[in-house]
Amino acid sequence: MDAILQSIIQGLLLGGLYAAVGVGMSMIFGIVQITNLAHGDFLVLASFVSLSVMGAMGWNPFLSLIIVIPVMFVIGYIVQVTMLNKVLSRGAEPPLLVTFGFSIIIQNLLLYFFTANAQKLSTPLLLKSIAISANIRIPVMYLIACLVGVAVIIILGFYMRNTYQGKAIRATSDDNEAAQLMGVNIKRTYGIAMGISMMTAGVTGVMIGVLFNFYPSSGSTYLIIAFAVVVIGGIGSINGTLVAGFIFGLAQVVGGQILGATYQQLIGYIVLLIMLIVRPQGLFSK
Amino acid sequence: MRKILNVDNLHVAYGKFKVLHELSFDVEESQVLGVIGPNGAGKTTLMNALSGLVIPYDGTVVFDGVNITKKSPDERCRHGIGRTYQVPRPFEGLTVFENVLVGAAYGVGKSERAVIAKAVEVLKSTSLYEKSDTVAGRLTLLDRKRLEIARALATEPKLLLLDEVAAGLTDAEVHEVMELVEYLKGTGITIIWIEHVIKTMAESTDKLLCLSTGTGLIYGDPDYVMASKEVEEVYLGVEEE
Ligand SMILES: Nc1ncnc2c1ncn2[C@@H]1O[C@H](COP(=O)(O)OP(=O)(O)O)[C@@H](O)[C@H]1O
Ligand SMILES: [Mg+2]
Repeated sequence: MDAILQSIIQGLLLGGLYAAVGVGMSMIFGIVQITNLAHGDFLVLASFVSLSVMGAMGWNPFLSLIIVIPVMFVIGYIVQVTMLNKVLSRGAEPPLLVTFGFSIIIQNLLLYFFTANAQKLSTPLLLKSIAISANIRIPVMYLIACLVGVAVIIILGFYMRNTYQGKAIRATSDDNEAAQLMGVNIKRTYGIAMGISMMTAGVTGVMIGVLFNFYPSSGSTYLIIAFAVVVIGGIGSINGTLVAGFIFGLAQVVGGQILGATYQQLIGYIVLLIMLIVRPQGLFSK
Repeated sequence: MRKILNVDNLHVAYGKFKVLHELSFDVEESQVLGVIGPNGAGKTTLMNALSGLVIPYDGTVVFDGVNITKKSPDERCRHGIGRTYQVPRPFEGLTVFENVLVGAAYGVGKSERAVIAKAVEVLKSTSLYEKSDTVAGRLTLLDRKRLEIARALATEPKLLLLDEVAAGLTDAEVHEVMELVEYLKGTGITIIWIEHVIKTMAESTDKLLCLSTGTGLIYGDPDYVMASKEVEEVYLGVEEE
């Protein structure tokens, strides 16, 4: 019983982070109408950027965020404006292929510079936990990752509702042609949206890198998580993303606890599959 | 009077489907040009070409001394062209206030306080202020039409393009929209006003242009155009519907 309770706690905490893993992809789905197949790879790229920053500056992973976040924004903006925007008018497939290309390029660049070895963003916090009872403990790093994930989503929601740029992004998402008639430069807006999406990938990439081993090829794992969160939550719904993250995290960890840890990923896929069949528009679609 | 818009030998097509050809006309500052013509004549297409949503394959559009033929819609907006849609297209997920705010913030480079003041001003002048916090997707057709105008006004246009603002409204509602347009005329803004049913705009225009099958059929003072045989022929079948 305690073991189940323990995994529920862990699953929920992980879920908060998963929500933030998915929210950036959901945004781009909703606003630019691109399925960013490289979202997971960008996330892992951020883990490696953090690793490099930590090595060069002697910083801890959290401090590295002050470099990782702006770097990821710039990467996102440039990628969108110089490449994705150019193929947007040619239908759905070309942008999809371009993001697939990014995925391959990122993986191979990381392989070239960092080898295929397992990496980790180390911090002593990983070993700390708060005892709730004799057998139940809250791992501190899971708690931090969850709070950071939830904070990312709350800040994003605030930005979208309360800033002119956020309103322009939502307007563009509703009707990009009418937005242009209001003076909104939509290509630039897409660039900013992708930059913000990459900022979320940056933050979550660092949290993931602290919690788990990562490799140049880890992107696909996080792409699936992001995809699941988008599908369960409903495209473009920030609150839906949050609930979806919790559901997915719970299913993975609790399922893994019951069936064995090796089944964790499989259980995630099965939840995703069931969701796609039962309610493909997501729980909270607009 | 200064010419604010000059359209010269305009040719517009959607892909291979040619819609406008050899269309030329001028608009003088602070005047109202009415554009009439049967369904499918190319009136909305002319709006698209002037607002930058389609780029002509031949001809030029000069606005306020600048050749804007190939400029993007957002550049034209900031340059001073505002436009409404025949079938309103508000940002459905945004409130009425937010809809207008986007135009005020992006259509003209303003300080934050000026943007909000502008939004309040246009909402008041279009009788939408009470509905500021309503989500635009829930508005009635009349209010949607008002919002189209409010949103365009928020960008502070020198030239306002109105595409069939009266279409689909009841007589009483048409009357309200007419009053709004009369008010706009009073502000000195230049207007190109498309209407399918001519009676609606009647004498409110300074000049009238009748389009038929994608080109200018006749242009001149409203009385002269309305009395012409050309317009009578074009509208013969239509008016009986
Ligand atoms: N986006 C489009 N793609 C292809 N053809 C179009 C498009 N918009 C309008 N048309 C065609 O162009 C012609 C003129 O349409 P439009 O400009 O809407 O006329 P009006 O506003 O005078 O009724 C019509 O034959 C219409 O079918
Ligand atoms: Mg029309």
